[in-house]
Amino acid sequence: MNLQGYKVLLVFVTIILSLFVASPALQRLLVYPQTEFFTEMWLLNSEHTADGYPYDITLNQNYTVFLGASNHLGHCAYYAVQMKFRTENQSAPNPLTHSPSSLPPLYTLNVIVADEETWESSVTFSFDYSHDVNNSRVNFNQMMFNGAPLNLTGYSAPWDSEKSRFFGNLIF
Amino acid sequence: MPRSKTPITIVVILLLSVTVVASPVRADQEAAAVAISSAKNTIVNCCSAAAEAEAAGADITSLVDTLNEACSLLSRAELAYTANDFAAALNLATQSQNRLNNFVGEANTLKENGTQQQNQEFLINVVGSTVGAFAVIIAGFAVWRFLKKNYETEAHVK
Repeated sequence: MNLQGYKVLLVFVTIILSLFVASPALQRLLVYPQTEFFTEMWLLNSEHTADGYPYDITLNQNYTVFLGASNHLGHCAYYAVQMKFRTENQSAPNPLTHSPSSLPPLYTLNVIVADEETWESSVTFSFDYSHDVNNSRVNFNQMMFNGAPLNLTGYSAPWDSEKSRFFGNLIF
Repeated sequence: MPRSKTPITIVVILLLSVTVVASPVRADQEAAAVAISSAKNTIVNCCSAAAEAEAAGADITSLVDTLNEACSLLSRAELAYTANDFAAALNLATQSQNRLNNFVGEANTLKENGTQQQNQEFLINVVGSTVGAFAVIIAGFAVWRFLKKNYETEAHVK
C-alpha cells in the first residue's frame, strides 16, 4: 500500500473512531427536544375498550369504567378529575366553547402523575332511584361511587318521550 | 298583654337557639373549607417541588406516591365536605397536609442529588467524549506523521 492509501485508510479510521468516541456528546445535540406537551385522558368500559359504555342502568347494579391519564407535559402534574351527574334539564358541558357543566362536582379525584407516566383507576358506580309513576319521573336518591355514597337528592329525570327513556349523564 | 308576650318570647328563644346551634356548624364549615383549601395549596407547592426534583433528573417515584396518598385524603375530605360532615372533612384535610410534612425538604435533597448526578454525567458524557474524540484525532494525526516519516526515510534510503 502506498502513502496515499495509508492516508485515506487513516483518515477513515480516525473519523469513524472519533465519531464513536464523541457519540455520547453528539447524542445530546442530535436528539430533538420534545416540542409537543400534552396529556392523554381516557374513559374505557369494563373490557378496556372505547365503546359499549354503561347505557341502560338498572337499580343498584354495579357498573365499572376505567379512567386514566398519561402525562406528556415534560414535568409531573397535578390533575383534579371532577365527576358530575346531570339530568336532561340541567347544565351540560359545551364541547364548542370547551366549557364544563356548571353543576357542582359530586366527587373530585385528585391525582399526581410524573412525567411520561400513566395513571389509571377503575371507577365502580351504581344508582339508587325511585320511579314516580304519577309524575313520569325518576327521582335519584343516592349514587355509590367506588364504595362511597353520594347524595343525589334533588336530581330528577323527566320521561324523554323522544328517546323513550329517563335520561341522565355521568360526566368526568 | 301576657297573651301577646308569649309568641315574642318563643320567637326570641327560637332565634337564640338557631344562633347558638348554627354558629358552631358554620365555624366547623369554615374551618373545614380553610383546611381543604390549605391542603390543596400544599399539594400544589409540593408538586412544584417534585417537578423541580424531576427536572434535575431525580427519581421521584417515592415523592409521587406520598403526594398521591395526600391527594386521596384530600378527595375524601372534599367528599365529606359535600356530605356536610365538616368534622371529618377537617380531619381528613389536616391528615392530607400532615402527610406532606418535610416533603419539600425531601424533594430538595433529591433535587440536589439529581443535579450532582447530572453534572457527573455531563462531565463523563459530554466533556469526556469530546476530549476523547479530540484525542483520537490527534492520535490519528501522530500516526500519520509517523507513517509519513517512515515512508520518506525508507524512500530516501532506497
